[in-house]
Amino acid sequence: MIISYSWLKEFVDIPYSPEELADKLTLLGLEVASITPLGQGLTNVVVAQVMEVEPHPQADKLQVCSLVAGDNKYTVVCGAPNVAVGQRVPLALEGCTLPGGMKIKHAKIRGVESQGMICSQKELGIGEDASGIMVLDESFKPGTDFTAINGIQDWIIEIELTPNRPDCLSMLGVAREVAVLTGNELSQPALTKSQVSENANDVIPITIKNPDLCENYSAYIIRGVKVGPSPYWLANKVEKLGMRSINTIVDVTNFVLMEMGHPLHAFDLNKLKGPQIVVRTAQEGEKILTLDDKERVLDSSMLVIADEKNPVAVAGVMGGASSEVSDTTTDILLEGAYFNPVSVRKTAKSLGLSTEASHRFERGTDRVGFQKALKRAAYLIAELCSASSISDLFENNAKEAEQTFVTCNTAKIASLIGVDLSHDQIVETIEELGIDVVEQNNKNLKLAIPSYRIDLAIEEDIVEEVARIYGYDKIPMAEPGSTYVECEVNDKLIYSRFTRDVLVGAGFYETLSCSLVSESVNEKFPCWVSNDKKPPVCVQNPISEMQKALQTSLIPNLLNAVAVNVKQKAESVKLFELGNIFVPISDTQADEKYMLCLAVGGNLEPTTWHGATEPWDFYRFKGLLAGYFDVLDIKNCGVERIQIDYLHPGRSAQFVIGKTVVGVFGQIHPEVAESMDVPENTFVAELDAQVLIDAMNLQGSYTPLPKYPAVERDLAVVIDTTTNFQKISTVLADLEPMLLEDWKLVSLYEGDPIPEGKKSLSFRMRYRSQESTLKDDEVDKVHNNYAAKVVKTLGCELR
Amino acid sequence: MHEIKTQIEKIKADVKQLLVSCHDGGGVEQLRVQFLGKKGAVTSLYQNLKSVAPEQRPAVGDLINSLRDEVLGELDKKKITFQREKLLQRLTSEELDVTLPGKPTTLGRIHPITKVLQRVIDIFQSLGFSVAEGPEIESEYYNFDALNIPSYHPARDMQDTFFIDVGKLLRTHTSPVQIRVMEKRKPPVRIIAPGRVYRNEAINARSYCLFHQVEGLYVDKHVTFADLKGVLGHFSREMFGPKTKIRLRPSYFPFTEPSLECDVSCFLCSAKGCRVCKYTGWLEVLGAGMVHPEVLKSGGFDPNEVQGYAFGMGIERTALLLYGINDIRLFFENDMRFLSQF
Repeated sequence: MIISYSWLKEFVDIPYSPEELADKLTLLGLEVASITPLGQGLTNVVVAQVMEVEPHPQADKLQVCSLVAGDNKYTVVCGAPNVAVGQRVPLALEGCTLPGGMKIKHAKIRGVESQGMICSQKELGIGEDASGIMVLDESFKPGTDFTAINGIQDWIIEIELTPNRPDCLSMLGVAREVAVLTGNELSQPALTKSQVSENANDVIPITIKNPDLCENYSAYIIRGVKVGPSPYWLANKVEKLGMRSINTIVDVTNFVLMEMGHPLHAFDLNKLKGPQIVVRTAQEGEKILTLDDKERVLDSSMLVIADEKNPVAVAGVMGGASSEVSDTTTDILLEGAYFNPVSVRKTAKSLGLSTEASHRFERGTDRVGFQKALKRAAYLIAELCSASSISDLFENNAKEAEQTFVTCNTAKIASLIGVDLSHDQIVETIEELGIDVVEQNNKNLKLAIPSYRIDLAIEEDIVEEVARIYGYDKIPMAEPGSTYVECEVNDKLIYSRFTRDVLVGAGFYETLSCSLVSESVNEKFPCWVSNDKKPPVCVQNPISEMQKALQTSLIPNLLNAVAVNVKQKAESVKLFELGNIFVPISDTQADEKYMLCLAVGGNLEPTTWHGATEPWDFYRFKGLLAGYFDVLDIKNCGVERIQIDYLHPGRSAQFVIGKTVVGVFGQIHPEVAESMDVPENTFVAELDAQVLIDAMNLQGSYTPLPKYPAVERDLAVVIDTTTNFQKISTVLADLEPMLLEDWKLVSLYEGDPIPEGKKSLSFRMRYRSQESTLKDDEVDKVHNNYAAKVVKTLGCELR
Repeated sequence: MHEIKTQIEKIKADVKQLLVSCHDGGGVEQLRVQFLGKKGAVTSLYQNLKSVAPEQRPAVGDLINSLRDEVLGELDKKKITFQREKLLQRLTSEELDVTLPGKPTTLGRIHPITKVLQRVIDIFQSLGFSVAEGPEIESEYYNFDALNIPSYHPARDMQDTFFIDVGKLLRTHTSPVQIRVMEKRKPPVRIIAPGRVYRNEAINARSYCLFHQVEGLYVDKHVTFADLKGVLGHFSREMFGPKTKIRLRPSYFPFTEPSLECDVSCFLCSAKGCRVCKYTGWLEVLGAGMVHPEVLKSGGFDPNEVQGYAFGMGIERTALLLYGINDIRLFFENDMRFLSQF
């Protein structure tokens, strides 16, 4: 919504500069987005009349004009194509600086003395028209100061209105707010006294078939109109607010729309069949050519204005071309009506057509006050178009407009705001807003809401009005957090923070990726969480194919991030992400699962002058994950080989706790690595965070530190290369603990002197007693016992 | 007796002299053998003790003992001197160019969005707010209807929506969590709900198809607009600095009444006016208001019994302002050159 500062002043005295006004409106809830000056700073521009136009002796495209302004005569060289004798034009004289920076001086142009410059709207900074010089109408007297003329110097204020305030979609609406703000009186637009003869019998039939969609349809008939260009004051106002001046009739409807906020429509009466008006829903498939020259196919939910046969307008949205007012129109039917907001909105949406009219109707118009706007426009048209006759207002009032009442309690209002406002103070504010207090019983009020304030329906709406007028800035700040409310522990939050801290310490960067991906990503990286390969859940109205499906794994996005960084020459990439995946249950249903995903690639650290560091490998990555489980105090996590298409078949596995799968990890399949532009030694893991949250123990538990020293013994076995480590480690893990405190693998070797097909593994076994310092022979006894058991169980040899 | 004393003095003098011409640890060892070894000069004095008269033996023995200690002391002193010198030489030879860069152990980074989000959560947790969550795939009921945004209401235009199915969508804000929490609990309720939300908007420097929000809700018997203002003021000072001022402007959200938008004094220019605050000195950071009675009803609360406030803020927007970032897409590209700056 844009408004004109100078026009606003016609309705109410404003003791503020445009900037001050903008601040005050913003604090009142009408957020000002911008202020644009028009014609500010202009001086030495005078209205002049063109007396003579002669060709320039030296230049084909220039003309030499003689002008008169009051007692002064001027000679000016002008290049505009539209300059002509008799015109009244704005003439910039010496001393004037145009908004573009040009300083006007006496100058010789191709040998001819020029004493000023005849300007276009654009050159003066008061409009967009740069096609030729600005031609003024008869109301401008030659010799007057151009910049002193009403409306030339102005400020255009752009307001970003919230959808609940359609009452402010007009100059009058904003003026009402300013009147409350300043306490100054509001002057309503006057109805032009008509010299035109009135013909009360001039009516046509109006039928309303759907009273729920159109409560009231009112009209005037104005005959014998002469359609022509608008006078300056009208064109200036319409153009200033961003509309094109077309002709008197269209301009008046637009003017009243801007002034009073109600959309009106003028039909060429002689093009209406009957003539009569039928307000009805369209027949399925019925067509209409709208004013924008597009054929619209209508359906039975859409309300139209029809004549005897065909639709002539889409109600509240746009008129039809067949009954459009043209230069040859003589008789018009001027319409004003109240249409149902939801109906207009649905229609405008399905037609993909948003107009100044639909914008207002769908937010809710003044169901009672619109007849004032209709009358104002009818009288203006009659006068400006020198009509021969004007009818009385005639209407079909299909449904009585209901008066809205709101009951409220002034104590409740004060308590919600948290300010000790008195009853009288609140009542005063309410009345200033034009709301009638119709009943008063102690602190209970019954309020009659003006028909233009469709946003006021419940007590809380009145609270906002009172708070707004009192001033949000004056409401004090209460000390926060005085009342105790039981707090809930959020494990997910605790887990996420802990994980971030640990991984950042381990050198990982946290990423965030778009959860919407292309469908093909899901095919390449199917969700491992569920076995049935359902297609991902997709949005029905994606921005593009690239953001269509809800991700079913964090891995592809993280691989993309690896690729992005490798492309930027990162030598070491360590990334993690915490986020939701959407495991499809059906086409439109998904289970949201919180996941932790890690990806590493390249070297452990970037190369410096010391040379390159070790590259990431499977065991380094696995060790890191083991360390992570360890800090979460998850001890019983097993590893099983798995097959996942996008992972290296020999280097992929899953973590399990009992039968629950914690997650998968492994090296990216070389083909996938190549297609994703990531290094071959890229490793990923995706873990189900909820499983980790359930299994973790961040509180920890304390075991006293040992008092006596430990003794270590190595156990070396030679075993078939085909026996996997887990088989061996299970045997060790199953040993009776007794004195054995811990053990670890310290070497793994194949080759000479170990026979072919065998491998040697050494374990360092640590023994400790809680009661005494162990003696060598005690340890030897236990250790040899264990060694024998291992040999027996595994069928291996000691070395 | 006298003779022994003379011998002792001679040994002392010899040791002193020989030590002077001794140049390394080996030399000192040689002297040790020469004087204290089996055939050493001091050792032979002990052997000569037999020839001393028995009554004089203890006194003579004492003299030899103190000679032995003195020689040993002198030799050790010299030995330590040589060790020190050797160590010093080693240390000198081990000197490094300390100005050369170290071998890196890279530390990671928390994503800037997470950083801001955690800060916001910390502030509200310190005020006694619990953290609640809701699903990203949400029903139209929770996302719109329950929040007093009926079908065909112009307010639905304020949020371009991704639809999954009839009545099902990607949540456009975290406000549905308000309803879900109220349905599950009895008043009083004091929560914040951080989370990911979606808008069907073209991806460019200023907008992205998803972002993060934090929603707040406090409902109790006497929660007022002034309480809301107090919390917003506290939050703003904690978040943007102790000198931060707030400005509340009336606004409109269907789920609050009265509604407001909260501006904070521009922390980039100390409210003097800059390009980012469009020379107003204010930055819009938050929307809020008193919970609409229809919303309380949707949550199963009685608007005649309880009242409260709600607020919501966009984390990306706050992060853009805090860090002076000019392109929202950077948050989702995961370029480490960007991430390493936070």
